[in-house]
Formats: sequence, structure tokens, C-alpha cells
Amino acid sequence: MSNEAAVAETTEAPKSAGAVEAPAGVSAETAEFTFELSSTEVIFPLDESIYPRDAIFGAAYLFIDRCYVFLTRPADGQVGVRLRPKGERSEAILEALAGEFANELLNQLLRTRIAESTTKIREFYMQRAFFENTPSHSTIDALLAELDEEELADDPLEISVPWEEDPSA
Amino acid sequence: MPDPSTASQLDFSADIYSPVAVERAVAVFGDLAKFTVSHGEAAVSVTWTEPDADVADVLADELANYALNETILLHRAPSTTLR
Repeated sequence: MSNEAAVAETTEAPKSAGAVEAPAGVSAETAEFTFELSSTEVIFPLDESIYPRDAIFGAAYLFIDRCYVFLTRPADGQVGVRLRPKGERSEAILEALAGEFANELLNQLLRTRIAESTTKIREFYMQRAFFENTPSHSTIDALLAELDEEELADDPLEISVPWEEDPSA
Repeated sequence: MPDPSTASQLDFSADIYSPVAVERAVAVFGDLAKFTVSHGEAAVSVTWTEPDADVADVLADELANYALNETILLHRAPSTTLR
């Protein structure tokens, strides 16, 4: 995947900013993950053509309990993410948060793609579970058919006696 | 601590945050400050004054978190749900 924000080596970009470089051989233009650090928060832009809205929301949702998350629209096709920890705040914690968020984005992206690629098969299974004969249905149907046959069967020994009539008559 | 008489404002990008979610957040936090909401083309702006002194420092962050949480829940809800 060319858009992987690989967390390999962190290089200090200008003060209060960080960047995670692309692995060797991968275009930095597509793989670089940059973020700005301040004393209380970390901010980074995400390209919506790489990370769809579902993935961004999925990752943000998982950070809401420990961070204040605010999303902005810095440019067309970009979503800005601002993370501000609720607890202790330090440069190391903020950098780690940015990395965790990037990893979670990839996780969410993968989940979305798997969900999309397995939609048909999940629908198929659901359809089969609800609308086709299952073994238990077949058994019930067979028992009902057997009862019907018994009721309609002949009585060659004349054992069955209609209850409406008096047998002594 | 913010001056209670000074208005604070938070602009929620209209194509990221659900206006319904922002309104819900304001309704939930309504007792903690005097809020006004204005719906623009690009953003839903929430302005408030006289925040409760106990929560003034975190009011904006908590409001934004609540609005985002509601936005995500609405985004995931069936399409028939009001967004």
C-alpha cells in the first residue's frame, strides 16, 4: 500500500513539528506523515482521498475517551486533526498519540476495505440463514408430512372408530 | 480562566460535523453557558458567554468532543435517521 504512514524514524522538522519519513524506495510525497506539536496538542492534516471519512471517524471515535479531538477543513480534500490529551501532556506523549492515530487510521482503512470486499458473501449468508431450508426446518416439514399421511391412510383392519357414531348401534 | 463576559466561539466545519449533532451538543451543554448557534455555508458557529466557572477551561473541548461523538454516531446510523 503506497499510502502507509510507516512509523519508522522520526526526524525533527522545524521546531514544534514532526515528521515520519517514508521507508526507502517509497515516494515521500505519498507516504510522509507530518504533524505539528505545541505544548498541549498535536495537529496533522489527512488526505481524504487516502483516508476516507469512515476511517477518520473510526479512528477519532477511539480517541475521544482520552483526547479532545477536533476536526477541521484546512483545504479541499483534507481533514485536519487536532488531538489534545485529557491527562498528562508532553512532547513524547503527543508524538506517540500522533503515531497511534496514524496506525489506527490504517487499521480502520483495512476494516473498511474488508467490509466492502465481503459485502456480497455476508449478504449471501444472511439470505441463506433466513430464507432457505435449514436442517431443522426440513425435519419439521418431514414430521408434518408424516402426520398428514397417517391421517389420510386407509384403515384395512377397521381399527379406527369414528367417535360420532355409537359402536353398539 | 476566560473572562465570563468575553464571547468564545467555535466553528464546526459544516461538511465534517453534522449540524444536528452540533445542536444536540449545545442543548446538552446549555446549562453551562449562554449559547448561540449560527448556521453558515461553510461552518456551524457556536458562540457562548458567561460560562460556568467550574468548567470554563474545558467547555470548548468538551463541547467539540460531544459534537464529534454525535456526528460519528449519526454518520453510522441508518440512512433514514435525521443527520
